[in-house]
Amino acid sequence: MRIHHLKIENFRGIRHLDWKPEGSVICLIGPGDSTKTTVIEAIDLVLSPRWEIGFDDSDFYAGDTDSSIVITATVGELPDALLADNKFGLDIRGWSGTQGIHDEPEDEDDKVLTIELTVDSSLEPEWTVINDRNPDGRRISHRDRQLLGVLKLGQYVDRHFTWGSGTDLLRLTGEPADLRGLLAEAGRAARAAITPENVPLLEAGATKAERLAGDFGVVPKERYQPGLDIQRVNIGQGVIALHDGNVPLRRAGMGTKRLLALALQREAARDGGIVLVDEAENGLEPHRVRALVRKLRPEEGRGQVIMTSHSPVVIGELPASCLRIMRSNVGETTVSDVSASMQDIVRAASEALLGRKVIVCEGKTEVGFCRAFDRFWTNAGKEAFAYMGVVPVACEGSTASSRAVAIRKLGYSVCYLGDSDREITPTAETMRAAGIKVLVWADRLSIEGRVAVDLPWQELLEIVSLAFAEPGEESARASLAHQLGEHPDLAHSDFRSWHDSPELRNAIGRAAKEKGWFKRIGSGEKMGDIVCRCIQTIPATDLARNMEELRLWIDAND
Amino acid sequence: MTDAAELAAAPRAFVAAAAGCGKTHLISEAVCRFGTRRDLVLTHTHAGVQALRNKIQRIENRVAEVAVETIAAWALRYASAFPKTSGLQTQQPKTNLEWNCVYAAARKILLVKHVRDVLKASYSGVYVDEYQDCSTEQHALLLALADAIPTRLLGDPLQGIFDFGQNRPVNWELDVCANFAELSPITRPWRWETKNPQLGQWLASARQALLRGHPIHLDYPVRWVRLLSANPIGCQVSECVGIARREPGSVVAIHNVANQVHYLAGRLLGFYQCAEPIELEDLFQNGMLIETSHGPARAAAVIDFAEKCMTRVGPALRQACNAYRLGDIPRTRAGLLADVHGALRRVAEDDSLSTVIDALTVLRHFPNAIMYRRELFNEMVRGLRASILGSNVSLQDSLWIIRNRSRFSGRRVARCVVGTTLLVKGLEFDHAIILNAEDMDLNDLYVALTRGSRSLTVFSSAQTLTPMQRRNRGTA
Repeated sequence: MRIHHLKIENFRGIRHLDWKPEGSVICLIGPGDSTKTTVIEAIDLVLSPRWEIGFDDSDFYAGDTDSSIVITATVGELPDALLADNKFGLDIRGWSGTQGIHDEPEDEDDKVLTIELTVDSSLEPEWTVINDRNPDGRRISHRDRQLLGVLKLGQYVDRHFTWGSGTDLLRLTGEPADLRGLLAEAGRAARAAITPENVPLLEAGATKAERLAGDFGVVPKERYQPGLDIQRVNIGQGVIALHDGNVPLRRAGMGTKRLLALALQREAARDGGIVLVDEAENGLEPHRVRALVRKLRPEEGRGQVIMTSHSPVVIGELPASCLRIMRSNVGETTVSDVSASMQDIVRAASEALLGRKVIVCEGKTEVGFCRAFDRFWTNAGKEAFAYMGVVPVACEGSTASSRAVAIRKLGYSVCYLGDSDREITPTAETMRAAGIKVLVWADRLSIEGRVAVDLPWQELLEIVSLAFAEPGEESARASLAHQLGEHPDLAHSDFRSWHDSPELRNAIGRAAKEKGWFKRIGSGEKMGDIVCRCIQTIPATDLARNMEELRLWIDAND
Repeated sequence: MTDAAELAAAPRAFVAAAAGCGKTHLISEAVCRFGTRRDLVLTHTHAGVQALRNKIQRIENRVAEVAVETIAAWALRYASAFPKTSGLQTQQPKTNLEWNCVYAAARKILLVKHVRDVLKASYSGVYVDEYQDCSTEQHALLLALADAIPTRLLGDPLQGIFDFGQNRPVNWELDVCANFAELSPITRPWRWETKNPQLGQWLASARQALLRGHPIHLDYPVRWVRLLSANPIGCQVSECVGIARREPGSVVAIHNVANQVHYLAGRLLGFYQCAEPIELEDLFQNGMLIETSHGPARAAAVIDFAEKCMTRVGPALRQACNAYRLGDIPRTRAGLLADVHGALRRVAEDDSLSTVIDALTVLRHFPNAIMYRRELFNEMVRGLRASILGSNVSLQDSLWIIRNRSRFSGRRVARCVVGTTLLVKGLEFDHAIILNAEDMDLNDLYVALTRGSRSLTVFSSAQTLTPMQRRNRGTA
């Protein structure tokens, strides 16, 4: 079973969605309120056998019950049972990868059915199978929808650990013909277990009641005694549940329950059903998340998995072609593919794709730097990166600009923060044309070089002391010596006595860059902290101006 | 003799079934006890569908599901499910030509791989009954069906009598035997087993003789009555009336010339009613005449209709009828026919159809008249009533609805009927009387001979019959 085409109208946050979910494994990512979960819910509503759903006004887009909720799914790889001509065999349509839907199937097409769920202001849901030649549609019952094999791993999987009707457990048990008989037996056994001898206190109460009744002229036919009321002990199918020892599985942790529910569904839907997972990582440690994602890959190419995620672990575990970026704008939800060429970006910068605004940095130094500024700005009363969905991400120097363009193409707001000390391809012009905010350090300097030139001398010396701590004084001095050649200041053992000079500043900048003194996020942060402390004293510098522009970009609405 | 298990196991086969040898029983057993998932049974008429469904319902512990349909309905269902691909022109076919388009469209749709998948998901196999009555177009469709799922055909080449007019039935040799494996024919005469086993045996040997083109000798247990050239009709009439009086069970008198049947019925003193075809054109034609005429012309139309259904009315009302045709209203005379004339006068004066019903009610009790087309008469009255009750419904539409209801709910055949082989084929009576055996060919004769389970009476000039081969009208 797979969905070839999904249309949603007027359902919760989605006024309109028209999407062709091609692919066996699909992971929807996007910022909060991009309607990811709503899409999963919608698919579950139209295809799963639930019928006891209560709709209310808030399920309609903008609460407007005059515009009916319409969810339409065109599904292929249909189970044989649905293809019989007394079911929906004569309603089939054809799906062509290139031409889309053909109302009457052609030989090269896949057979599909189009199922539509409509809810109007009466709040009564109606499920029908539709096609052009039968526009009123033919009702599809919840029993028939069961054959579609759609499982949603969500909060409420508890039902799947009982032998209730339509559950995978029941299907695995082979749907015994005499289920009712078995249940009746269980009921009788339960009643027999509560006999008066077992509960002497209750027996005493019953005897007292009998005596009191006698005072009022009420005479029992036999005698009064406690027992289980037949009507109230209704051992239905749903009451028999799977237990781990004495503990019912509904008490198990969510991660365990999800994995188990998935395992049962996989077995019961041998044809390959559709698995919907909202927040694949929910309740699972990273290693179990990875195991889950690996298990979700459909076997033998049949079936489909559609999930949402906020987890870099999940994204990292999947090929880029599985990802779909979701955006919602005034009710119009769009779903964009991520091309396979983005694979390395996905691996390297998975967190970026989970944000709204991405700062593409040339290296980890800049990322640390940004983090330091995030703290600085937050303390100054501005909104934090986390609040704005800003994610700084490090890209290997030469690839940074092409990645910036690629990420921009996916609809993210992008700022490029980098050195200007070499030619970049695509060029800054190209990036600006693509709508990217480009911030480069003046004078063809790297960030270390810029810091070394713009910072007050004392603070610069503090930064040098960082380098003396890590990677170490000797190696730092050696790098400086390499840059400067012989220099009177270097001979001094105490670096605090060095004199401020352009040559020394440049040397510090170059050494820091070439030797990678701050080439880790942590060290970049420390450097950044020092810069933040004095940034307000150097407002005219390129450093300060660029950081101010960065902040303006962060705060802008787009 | 093929049994149910063999039939159910055959992937592509046919079984020739002699009349009364348990063909319906065989199909029912095959689907109910040896079916695997869901079987399809196709036949030609709604009466046939009913008969099969009833038989199947009565079998308990069925192992599989069964769907029973007419070939026409099934073909229309599939062809109209994909109209663009099948090329179906009209979803409500009426004429033969339109129906042939339906079969061609259904055949076309079976060529689509996906539709074949639907077919395989729907049925484990199909049985087709009365195959000798299939037209060449239906046969082409069923051949395509046989390519997709296991198909078994049942029928009797010796009972193929629907080859007239625009019908072109299959050729048993060229179309059936050549394309399907043969299973041994079923020949045990179950119909006569408890009632007249000797007649059953006689018919079995007669069948063999007919198949070989040998003459048939009308000896015991058949009652042969010599047809005298002088007053042949009179002799037949008294025999038929005698049998109707003597025997308590059902009787069929078979004459193969259609207009002779009406004449004979009129002579049979009301003991026999005409068997009527399901389409009953006379009902619609006369209904049209009555509805579209007004005033005196309508009165004339009413008389004409009554004349078709009963004796005496024609001659007794000739003068009055002529007057009405000229647009006059004849004087009402007192006497025996006063109320008849009064009712007819009211038909001429009042345009409401209720006057027609009143007139027909009076005519029904025409003194000394014998009603012999009661089914036709009663359907007309029912149609008139329905038309009056449903205020906007025309008489034609009401008649169509009434007739359709009869088609599906089954018509009650009178105890004694007279009709052609076409009209009584497939039906079972206690006693059969064949009136013009020497005019019948092989197939007509075999159908006629096998209608009665208790007795058979044959009129002919000679005691030996040498029927002609049926003119080979089928094509491969």
